[in-house]
Formats: sequence, C-alpha cells, structure tokens
Amino acid sequence: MTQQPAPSPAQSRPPARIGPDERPPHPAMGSAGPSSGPLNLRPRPFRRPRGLRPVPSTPNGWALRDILSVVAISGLALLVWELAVRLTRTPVYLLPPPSVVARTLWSNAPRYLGAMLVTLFEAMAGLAVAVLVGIAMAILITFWESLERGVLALAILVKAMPIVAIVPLLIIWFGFGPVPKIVVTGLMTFFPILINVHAGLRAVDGAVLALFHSLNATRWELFRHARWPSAMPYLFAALKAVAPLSLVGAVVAEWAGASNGLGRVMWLAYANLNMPALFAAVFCSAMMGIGLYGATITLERMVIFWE
Amino acid sequence: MKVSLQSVSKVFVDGDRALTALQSVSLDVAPGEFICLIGPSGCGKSTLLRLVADQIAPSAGAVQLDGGPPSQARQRNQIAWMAQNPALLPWKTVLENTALPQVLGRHARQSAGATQSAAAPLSAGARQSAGARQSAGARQSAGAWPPSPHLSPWDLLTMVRLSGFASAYPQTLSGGMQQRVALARTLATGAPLWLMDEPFASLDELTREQLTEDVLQLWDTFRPTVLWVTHHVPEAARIADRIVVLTPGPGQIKALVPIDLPRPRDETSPQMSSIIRTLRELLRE
Repeated sequence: MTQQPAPSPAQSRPPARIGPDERPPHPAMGSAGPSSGPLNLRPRPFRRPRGLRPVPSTPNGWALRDILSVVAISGLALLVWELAVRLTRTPVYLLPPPSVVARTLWSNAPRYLGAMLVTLFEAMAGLAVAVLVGIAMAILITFWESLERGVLALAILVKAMPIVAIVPLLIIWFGFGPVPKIVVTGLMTFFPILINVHAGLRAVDGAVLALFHSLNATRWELFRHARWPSAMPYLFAALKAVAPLSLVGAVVAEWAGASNGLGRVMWLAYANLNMPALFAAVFCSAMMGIGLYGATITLERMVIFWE
Repeated sequence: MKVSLQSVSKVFVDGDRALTALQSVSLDVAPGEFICLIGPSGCGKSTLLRLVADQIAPSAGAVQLDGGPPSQARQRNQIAWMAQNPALLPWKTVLENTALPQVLGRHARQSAGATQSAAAPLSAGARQSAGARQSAGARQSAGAWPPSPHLSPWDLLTMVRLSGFASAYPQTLSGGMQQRVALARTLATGAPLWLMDEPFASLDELTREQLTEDVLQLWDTFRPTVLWVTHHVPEAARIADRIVVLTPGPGQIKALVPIDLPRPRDETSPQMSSIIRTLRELLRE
C-alpha cells in the first residue's frame, strides 16, 4: 500500500495507482466503483425508513391500516363507555350507554335523517354565503389596499361578536325558517375564509411578481395566473376548519328557535330529559362533521392538483 | 437593444436613514452586447439591473433603452427578466410556463386594441417596436430575431432540451431543469434585452457551467443585448464581451474590462488566466 493519509474504514480496498500529479481520492469515495462519478459518495445498503412501508390503499387514499385503526380506536372507546355506564349503574337520564343511543337512532331513523338534511342544508347555505362573501372581500382588499384596514376592522368586529347573544334577535327579524340559521352560520365561518384567502392572494413570491411585471402583465392577469391559484391551499386550510364549524353554527341557531333540524331535536330532548335522543342527535351532527371534513379534503385534492 | 445609463444614482430612504446604492453610474451598451456586472455583494449590481428593468426609478440621472424610458420598453414587451428564482408557476405545466409570455402578451395586445383610451398609444408603440425588431433582424445576418412569432413554446423547449418534459409540472424537475424552463420562457418573450440577475447562482457548479454554455449558444443565435449580474469571476470572464466592475458603498463603476477572445473560452489559457487575475485584483482593492 502506498502512503495514504488517514486510511479510513470506508476504504475497503487500496485505490488504483496514484500518479505523481494526482491527489489521493477523498476517503469517502475510496470504495466507489469505476462507474460512479467523482461526486458519488460511498454507497450504503439501503434501509427503508420506518413508517414508509407501502400499504394497500383504497381508492380515496385511505390505507386499510388507517381504516382499521379508526374502527379499533372508536370501537374501544364505545366499549369503555358502555361498560362504565353499566358497571356504575348510571341512570339513563344522566348518561345513556351507546347501545341505547344506537337503538334510539335506529328506531327513529327517518326523523333523524330528516333533521340532518335540514341542518345540512342550512349549514351548507351559510357556508356558501361565507365563502362567497369572504373571497369577494379578500379580493377587494387585495386589489384596493386602502380598503384593507376598514374591511378588516369590520370583519374583526363581526368575529368578536358573541353570536349566541344575537341569535334570538335574528329569529325575531327573520322568523323560524332557515334564514337566521344561514346568517348565523355565515357569520361564524366567513372570518377565517377572509383572512386565509387574503393571505393566500398576497403570498405570491416576489420573483413571480417581478416576472409578471417584466411581462407587462395586467393586475387581472396577475390575479388569474398567480394570485388566485396561490390562494387555493389557503382557502382549503380555512375550509377544513370551517366546514365542521358550519354545522355548529346551524345547530346553535336552531337551538334558539326552529321548526326542524338537529338543534331542534336536541332542544326537545333536553326539555324532556331524553338523553338517548340528545346523544343520537349529537352523534348525527358529529358524523356529518366528519363527512364534511372528508368531502373538503377530497375537493382539495381535486382542486390543488399540483401539490 | 441599446442601453444607456447617464449618471444614474439611486438612494434608498428608510425612515431617516438614506442608503446610496448607486452613485452617478454611466454606461453605454451596444445592441447585441453581452455585459457582465460583477462586484462584491451590496455594490448595487442588482439595483442597477432593477433600474433597467423598470422595477425601480432612479433618484437622479436617466436610463434609456433605445432612446426611450425603461417603462416604454417594458410596455412593449422588450425586456426579459430572469433571476435566481426560476419563478415557475407550480399549477402550470412546463409548456404552459414556457408559453406564459405569449399568453400574457396576447392579452396586452387585445386590451391595447380595445376601447381603452390609455392603451391607444401603447398599441401604436407595439407596431413601431415590431418594425424596429424587423429592421434589427435585417441588420443581423442570422435574421432569427425575434424568436417568439416563429418559434412555438415547443420549439423553445426543444432548444433547452426539455421537450420530453412539456407536460410535467415544474416542481417535479431538478433545479437545473427548472432554470432551463425559465430560459425557454425568457426566449418566449422575444425581447431584445435580457436582464439576468445571478440566474444560476443556486445551482451546482457543473449544472451552472452547462447552463451558461446554453445561454451563450442562444445568445449567439438570437443576439439579444444581455446584462448579466454575477459574483462569479471566471463565469463573467468566460461569457462577457465586456465586464463592468462595481465598487461597493456607494456603487460606482470601477473599471470596464473588455474581453476580445473568441468563444468558447478556456479558463486555463494564459490570456484568460491573466484576465481573471486582473478582475480578482480589481475586486479586492
């Protein structure tokens, strides 16, 4: 072996002859084969990181493992609940066991389904209004920055308002129909949409702004090709938070006075101390929330195809 | 395109502090000339480029592009801007990104022809500039300028060896390939002036050299005027017709170094070595 400065464990065999003008290779590339270039570091046996194993997946992106984990965890929780109630002999008007809730749900399925549809319609209508108004206002204050302070002040005012307190007033104004529910849902959900879309519209990279400026693009072109697509991830981040919240808005408004809907069902259940019915309605609301969240994620994947 | 800076100064005011980025810089660039601006960081080379690009206005002096203000050249789509960040839109394919200057240009032309009164002189300007481009093309033996009306985004992608990636999205490409897309997009502007702000600074050395060669080839084909900012001395010596050495605080022109060697240039040749050494000394002083 010729004189080698600091032979390292990486060097499994001596390097080829070194000419007088050639520097010895870096220890890290000592064992690299002749096919690998000078930048190719010593190859290491590939070890797959944990948690990155390919798992069989269902068409909508959920792995079988995920479904199993959801079923197992929620099943376990229900089992604990059932056992706890039965072992402690808790009376049903305090906490009904899940089996009783399930029976209530099953025997009154059409009623709950109807209430769900009413609440879902109100929540979706309110959310749609919030999305339209939120996006419109975000665009407005992006194009005319002088309006920004005023519009945001107003939005924060609305956001800070204790909405529960004005629900009865809204019912006096608009009656027992769907309108006050839509208004409440809209008021509760529009602020995150406004703030997020506004941030997204302004999140365009400075390099992209410089490019569009050099191409003499109009403000509309900048909006269409850069600002609007860049706001999409922000919009969906808001929607994921706000879609389940829209149901809460509708239920709260129904609670204060309605002819139908899950909130009405809950209020009646409370009035009669019918806890199984209350829990059944809560369960329906939670299921719809999960469904809405999933729908939002599916829509997000379709819209934001580039991420 | 002829670029002329007449004792241009730029002062940035931040509250009660004023920073002189450039002080009475005068420079004349001939059409088709390849200029490199080098200098230590903070010497105002990017500021100079942004002044020419109509991104900022000079505090004193005047920038003229073919005798007119930069804003006019920009409105006639005569300026191509390329920076270290390729600024590709992730929601557009490589082909769509390449075609962006033509898409946006078409809109501008439509609105110029529409009823907007403010746009009327712009459309006249566009016609004038087309005439100017034709005469410029006639002057040059290549006659290939401008590339955009004749070359489709497809052709441009083929030029930068990316035709196989036309329908890919930019974030799936390597950094070097992304800059090649940006280069194709620069060509698509059809602009006779390329302003390049350290375009390949974030790339590895090998990719950088390869891309610089690509730019030289394209420049040789289309002969745009190029202002190229870099702090890489051998790169500047390899590509430039003339090197502008700037001093920092405030930025002033220290020396103009013409390089009259045929391309491709070998950095290890004696003349090149001496030029590089001269430049290094100028920068160190």
